[in-house]
Amino acid sequence: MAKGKSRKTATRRPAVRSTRPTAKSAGVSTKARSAGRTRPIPAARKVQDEIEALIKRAVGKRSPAAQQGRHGAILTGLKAKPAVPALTLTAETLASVVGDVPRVRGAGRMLAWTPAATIAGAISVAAPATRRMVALPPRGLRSGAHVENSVKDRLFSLHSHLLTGAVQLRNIGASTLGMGSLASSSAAVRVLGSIAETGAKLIEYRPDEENAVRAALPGLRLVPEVFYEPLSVRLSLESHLQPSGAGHDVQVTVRSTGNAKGIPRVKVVGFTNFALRAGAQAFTNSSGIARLTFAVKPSVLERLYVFADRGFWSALSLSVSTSSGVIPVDLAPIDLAQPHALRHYVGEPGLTEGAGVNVGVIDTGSGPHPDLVIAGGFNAVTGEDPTQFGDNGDLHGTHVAGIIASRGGAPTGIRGVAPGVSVFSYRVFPKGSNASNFDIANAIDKAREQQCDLINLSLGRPAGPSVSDEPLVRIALEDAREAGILAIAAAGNDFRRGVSFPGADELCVAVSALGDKTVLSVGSVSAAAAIAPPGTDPNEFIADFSNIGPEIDVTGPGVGVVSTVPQHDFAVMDGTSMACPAVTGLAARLIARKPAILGMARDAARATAIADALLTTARTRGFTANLEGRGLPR
Amino acid sequence: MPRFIVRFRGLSPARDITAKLRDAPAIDVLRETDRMVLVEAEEADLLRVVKPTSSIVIVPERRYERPDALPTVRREPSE
Repeated sequence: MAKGKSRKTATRRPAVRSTRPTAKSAGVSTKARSAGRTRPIPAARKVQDEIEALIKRAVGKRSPAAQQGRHGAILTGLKAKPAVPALTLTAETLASVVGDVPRVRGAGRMLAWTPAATIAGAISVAAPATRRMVALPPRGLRSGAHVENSVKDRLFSLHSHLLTGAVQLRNIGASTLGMGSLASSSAAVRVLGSIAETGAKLIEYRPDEENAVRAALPGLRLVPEVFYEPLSVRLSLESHLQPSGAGHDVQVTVRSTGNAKGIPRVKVVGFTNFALRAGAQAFTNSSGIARLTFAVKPSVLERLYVFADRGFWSALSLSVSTSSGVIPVDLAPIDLAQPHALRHYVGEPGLTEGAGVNVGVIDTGSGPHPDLVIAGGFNAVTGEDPTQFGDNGDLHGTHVAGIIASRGGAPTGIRGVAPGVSVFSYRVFPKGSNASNFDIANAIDKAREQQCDLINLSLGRPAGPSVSDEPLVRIALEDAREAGILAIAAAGNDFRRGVSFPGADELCVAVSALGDKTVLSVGSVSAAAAIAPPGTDPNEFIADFSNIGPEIDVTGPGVGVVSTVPQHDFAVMDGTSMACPAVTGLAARLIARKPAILGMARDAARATAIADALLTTARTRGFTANLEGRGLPR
Repeated sequence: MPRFIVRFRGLSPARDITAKLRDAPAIDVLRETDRMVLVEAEEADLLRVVKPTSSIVIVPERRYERPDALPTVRREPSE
């Protein structure tokens, strides 16, 4: 499938320590007295401030030494400003003080360079004594079948010296290679880590031996070791529930606008600082009352979210005062007779739309619901009964399946995009937990065995720096593609971050979330997802939570989507999880009308033909390509 | 103990390798399919029994999140 875009590469900047050091911990040596200055040494904080000011003026400027390629040089001899003593800092301290220090090309560590002519102060930067790099085969993390034996030998030889101390490069693979020039190299490396015998190696060597190291390891890629910030951990709702009386309660009363009755089991989340995700959350009781418990009672809730898992639109209130002690919130019931996102974009398709197409939904399990027919499936969750592929209670998979294939209709139900398809349910999520790549790959294999034509992946994880970051699911997707299956994946809901894997992978069609204000309940969470820019239709938007980027292929309705939840209810959900099955349904309708494609031999060409047919139907909604890809398929 | 997945590529599963994994004392086979084996073992012990090749891939087990657009509390409010 020619997606016409490059593979996503991570652009995260390496983490640096955020703690500002004291003058003592910074390894600062004040040399004022030795330099003959008569002024008293400034207080530690003032010195630290001066360091920051000097370094920030210098950041971005390259020293003559750097320009000459001598990255490991120690810089000294700067113009001294009398008010500031001469200082010595380690590179690590420098990085931690300044933060984002520009990277010197080819260096294993970030260093700031201070040109002698312009800096007001004398600063010497001690470069690290060693450099750490990762030695890689030509592709991926491990040597594949097509890698030259000489490269494998070098990696294997390095592996044999893992954690044994420095090894002379003349001994790396030379005995089997007879390479005289390498045999004479006296450069040495330490092998600190290894991924498989003929896979990537973390090596360490003196910076001034860089050239010798590279010359001794032809055919290997050398890339700097980099460090990533840890991902934020989402804390579970249950872990933040506090018993009444442990702090100060803010009471929230949730009622239906339909009959003014309290609504039980509604999730209430009050943020005191939304940017930090600081706040409290609770569920309503049988009377529709929730108590948010805080250590110190806030006077204002920056945001108050109220989510019902079925039957009602959600609500979002901003800057809510807690002075009255009780906050009333009214939720609008879902009216299946009224327009909603799916109906707005696809109408009420005929019950035979998509007939003859098998669709695999890889999710929390789907069904039961009276409007859904599940043709088969498999529970891939390790440790669970493989025959139990219905919804695990998280509701997500049933909602997704309903978007594709629900057979109800107004005013008592909803109609999916392709009600005639055969839905196969593959459960990969244990209830309330994340899915293992093993279980996902197993589910994809099962979908291949059961001859699905399309698989829907409303799941993901942040894409790594290369496809080898998560090879297993990719391999399973490759095998599925070889069997003529097209995978359609959600872009992810990280508020305009890069497209998640597997959506980011070229093997998948990645879907962003499209919304229309006219079909959203006023004051709902869904309505709050509308942000600029609008599309050609000023009421349309790409949801604020949708991941975006060059990997986006198409967009689909993903805001305020009404669909099925067990056992016989309906819920409103937002997400690229909803946009993805909408596009899957559109793909199913399309190929059901093209027997020439459906009848092709089950191979990669078939999958490509399905993708091409889908992408060529897409029409722009007036957004840029990184928001909508080619647009909304028809 | 870490978990790894041994994936066999191509049409023929490597049954002899699966048998070796089952027989290895330091390796706990948790689950098998016709193309994969999920094991609990130290990487070094695993690599002594099976080596990655063009048709055998060994990867660590990883977790995937269900995409969720609902904001979640991550921390208590600061006092």
